[in-house]
Amino acid sequence: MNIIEVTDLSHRFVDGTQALAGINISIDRGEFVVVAGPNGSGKTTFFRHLNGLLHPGKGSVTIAGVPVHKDPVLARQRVGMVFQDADMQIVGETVYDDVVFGPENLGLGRDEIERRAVHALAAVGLSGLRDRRPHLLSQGEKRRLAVAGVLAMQSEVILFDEPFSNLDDSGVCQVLEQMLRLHKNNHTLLIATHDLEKVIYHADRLILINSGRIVQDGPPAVILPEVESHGVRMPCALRFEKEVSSWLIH
Amino acid sequence: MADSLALHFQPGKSLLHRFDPRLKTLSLLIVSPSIMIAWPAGLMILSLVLTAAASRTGLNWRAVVHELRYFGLLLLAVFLSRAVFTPGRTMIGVGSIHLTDSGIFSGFIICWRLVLVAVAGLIYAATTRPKEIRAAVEWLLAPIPGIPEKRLGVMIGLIVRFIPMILDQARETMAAQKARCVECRKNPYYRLTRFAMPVLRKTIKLADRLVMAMTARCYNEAGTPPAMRIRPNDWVAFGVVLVVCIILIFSNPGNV
Repeated sequence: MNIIEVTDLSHRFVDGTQALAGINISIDRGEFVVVAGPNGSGKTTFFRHLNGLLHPGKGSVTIAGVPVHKDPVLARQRVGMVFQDADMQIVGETVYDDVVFGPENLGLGRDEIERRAVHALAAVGLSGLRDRRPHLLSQGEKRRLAVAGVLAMQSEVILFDEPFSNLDDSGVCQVLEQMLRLHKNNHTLLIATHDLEKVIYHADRLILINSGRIVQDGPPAVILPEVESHGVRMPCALRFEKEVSSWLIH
Repeated sequence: MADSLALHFQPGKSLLHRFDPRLKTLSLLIVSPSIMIAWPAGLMILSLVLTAAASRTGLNWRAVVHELRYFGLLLLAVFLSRAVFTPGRTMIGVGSIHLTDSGIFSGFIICWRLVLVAVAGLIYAATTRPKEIRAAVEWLLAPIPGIPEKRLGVMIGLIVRFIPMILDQARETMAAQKARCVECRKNPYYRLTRFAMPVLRKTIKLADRLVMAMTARCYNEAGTPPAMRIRPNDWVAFGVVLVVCIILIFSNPGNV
């Protein structure tokens, strides 16, 4: 069953820039989707529509059958978003405070908030750092904390906007392992990136966006040979006519 | 990084850590003005109490002293201005500048009071989670009509969270400008504007993204309030604070 339905979605910024034009897409529950495109192609704008942060100029976005514009709070609860810059997303004064920010906004009881926080911190391996100030975490830990904040809201769908930017190899592996765990636990994942190398091996589906339009959509193996014509770098292995392998294999 | 750590909450389970944040905040609000009118006998008692309390906070006092080095300059300025401008018998004289006995005493007492107020504030910050400070401020402001206490509480929380980031941005901007020889420019106005504008622009952008991130996590003012409960031990501790305040106030001969 589809959890996300996007029909004829268009978005124009106030300065007149057409960010998205006629996007039609359906995402099944449990899919692992990579959305790729060059900088400024519309990936982040598209994600913000799925999370209810932007409202369509034309068309509609539906999450689990409910139009986002009718209940944006429900959309934000069901579709969690991990922002490109984790520093921007973290609003708590300590790791624990940040994780409980979302559940507190939902008005949950204190016991339920505690239960969710403990579970979310354990899921991302940050239980031992609950009193640490977020400012002092590594970039990889910050991104895991951002994921914990989303998990505590029990989102079914998790959007990652450029999850590997500003991360060293260890940070990339931490975040990628986290994604695989989430996928294994039946979360639907959408990853916006222009760096296919690190994640495409694990994806079920690749969507290419360019100039606000979907230009390719299908299995990665079929689409990968054409990505460079849309401004996205092909994984290195393919250049040497080898099979793409997981970034986690060293 | 150490400087960022010095003046913030240190996790712990001491009596002060467990003291109800509302009564702790109220205590700080009562103790601070009491210190400012206390005399040496009261200040000595409080110094002993605060030294005992400070040893339980987990603060790195060497880092704290380093962080507050400019506060030391302020104290020196206060001491000298008191010592020079307070009338009395001259103790030390250099040219037309004379340090008087009553000036030195007065300067010493004022500096002692300021140090104790600063130490009390540091102990408070080291033993109270920012979230609890926020909740205590909301609790204290709630009875005052016309003040949006929840919004103010969130603002305080965000300031605590984002000051380190803004300082980091300012440091990065400064470093980037030094890398391009900004120090060769002697005009302070030029340097100030070239430094302040990018920092301000980045801060505004930061605020904009922050709104987006908070909205994405369903921010509203009607969320779950923090769980706080005043226990009998908290009332006992608050009673002790009141007794200390009375001692401080009556240590001043003018109040007896």
